[in-house]
Amino acid sequence: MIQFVFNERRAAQAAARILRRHGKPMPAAKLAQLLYLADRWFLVQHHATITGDDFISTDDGPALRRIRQLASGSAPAPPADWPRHVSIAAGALACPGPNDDETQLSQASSESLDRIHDRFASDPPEELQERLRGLAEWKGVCAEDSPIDPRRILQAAGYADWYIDRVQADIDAACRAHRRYGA
Amino acid sequence: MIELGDTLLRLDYRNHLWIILSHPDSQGRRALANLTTHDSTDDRHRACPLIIARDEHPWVKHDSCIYFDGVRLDTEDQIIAASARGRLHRHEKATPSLVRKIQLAALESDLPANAFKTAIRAALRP
Repeated sequence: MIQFVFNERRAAQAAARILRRHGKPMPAAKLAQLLYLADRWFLVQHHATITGDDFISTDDGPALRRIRQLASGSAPAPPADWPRHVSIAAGALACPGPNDDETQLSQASSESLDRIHDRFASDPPEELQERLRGLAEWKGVCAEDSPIDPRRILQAAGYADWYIDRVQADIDAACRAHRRYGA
Repeated sequence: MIELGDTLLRLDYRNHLWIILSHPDSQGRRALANLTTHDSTDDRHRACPLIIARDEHPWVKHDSCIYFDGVRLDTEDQIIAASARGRLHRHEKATPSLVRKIQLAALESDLPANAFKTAIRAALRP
C-alpha cells in the first residue's frame, strides 16, 4: 500500500487557494471533494500528492481522511495550521483574511488546484458526488470507511504494475526519511 | 557547519547524494536536493530539466537527474538528525558550476515548493 505523509500546512494552503479562487464561501463537502480530485490528479501526473492525506472509500465516494475531518470541523486533534487559512461560518468555508501564504505549494500544485476548481467547483453537489462514485477506486456503499491504495488509482490511469512498484519504492523511501526528519 | 555546495550521503534509505543549494534562510533552513540515476522510461525523470553527467561529480556513475518534488528545506539540526548515526557523511564538494546548474533547473521546474525557490533565488543573488 502506498502511503504518503500528511502535511497539514500544505493542505491548509491548498484549501485556501481553492477558497480564494472561488471568491465566496464554499460548503465543506465540496471543498473536500475538490481537494480529493486535486490530490488524485497530482498523483496521476506527478506520482505524489499535494496534501499527503490518506485516500479512503466512503458511502459518498472516495475522499481524503483528514481533510474530510478538518473541513467538517471534526478533526480528533486540534489542527495547527488549518484555522489560519480556513474559517467556518454558517456551515460554509472561506478564507479568514487576506492570508496568501503559499510557501508550501509549488507551481505544479497550484496549477492542479486551479484546474480542478475551474473544472468542478460549479458542478451541482449531486453531480460531483456521482462523478466521484464513478471513479475506479471507489469500493461502493459499505458499513465502514475503508482505505484506498493509491496504486489502484495509478493502475486505473494505465500505469503498469512494475512501474508502480518502482514509484512505490521511491515514495516509501522518501516517506521513511521524512518521518526520520520529523519535519 | 554545512555550506553551499556541500554534498552529503546517508540522508535517506537509498543513499542518494544530496547537494546543498542555498545559504541558510531567516529560519536557518537550507535548500537541498538529491541526485538519482536518470531513467528515460520514468515519467518523473522526463520532467527533469537537467541531466548531470558522470564527469560533473565523482559520485555520479551514470547520467543523473533530480526529481524536484522530493527536494527539501531543512535546518542543519534537521539534516544532522536525519543522517545515519546522527552525524554528517560528506562527499566531495560540488563545483560552483554544478550548483548553479541545479539551482537554475530548480527555478525552471514547476515542482519545488515556493519556499524552496525563494531560498534558491536568494542564493543566486550576487
